[in-house]
Amino acid sequence: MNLNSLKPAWQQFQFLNSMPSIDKDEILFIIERAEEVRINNTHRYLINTLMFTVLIISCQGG
Amino acid sequence: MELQKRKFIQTLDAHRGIIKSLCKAYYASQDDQKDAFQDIVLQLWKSFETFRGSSEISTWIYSVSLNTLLSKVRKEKRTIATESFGAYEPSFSTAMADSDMELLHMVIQSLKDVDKAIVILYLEGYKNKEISRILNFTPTNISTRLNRVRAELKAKFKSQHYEFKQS
Repeated sequence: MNLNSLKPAWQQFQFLNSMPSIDKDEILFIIERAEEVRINNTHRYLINTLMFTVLIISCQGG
Repeated sequence: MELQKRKFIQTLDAHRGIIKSLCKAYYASQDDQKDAFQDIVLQLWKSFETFRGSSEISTWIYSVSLNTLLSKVRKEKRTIATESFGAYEPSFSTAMADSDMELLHMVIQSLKDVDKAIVILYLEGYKNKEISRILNFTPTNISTRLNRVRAELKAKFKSQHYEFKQS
């Protein structure tokens, strides 16, 4: 027996794991949550930049 | 965007066996497998738009999934070390009636993370050059690692009445 003889077993293993179909709502939840996080991060970054700019201008006595 | 999402879900569904098998090969507990599955889905989604079809979809899925898993296990190395071979797992057990499946399980569980990825791609029928492209190694490195894995498996499973030939 060699490594090649495990190829059918790997195919069988894949087949067994493909039995239950993918839950579409779960996938949508994963990718939409990631989009939300990205949007929130951008929003937070913009606010922080704005606050930092105002702070720098204030500290310069302007 | 909705069309893109639908297309993505269809692609995932058509290749769900690959992704779930990889998660089970790297993680024993169902929670960890679910976590890994989510990470892979996210990475696949991020690169879905840029996927131009220069390779087979299954190759792209293997590439993104294995590289995601490898960087994930690298980050969690300490945790993983505590649940290695000894925790003989429910993940493969449903299919253990078959002796080849049992051997596959033992082989996969006994391999180091990178070697595991190489062996899985080899079992999937990829040539050394393709494996090197998928995992970002040199073809020589892949060939060396595969030979070393074969030798290690031969030694490891000899005592358990399994015979590994160097082919």
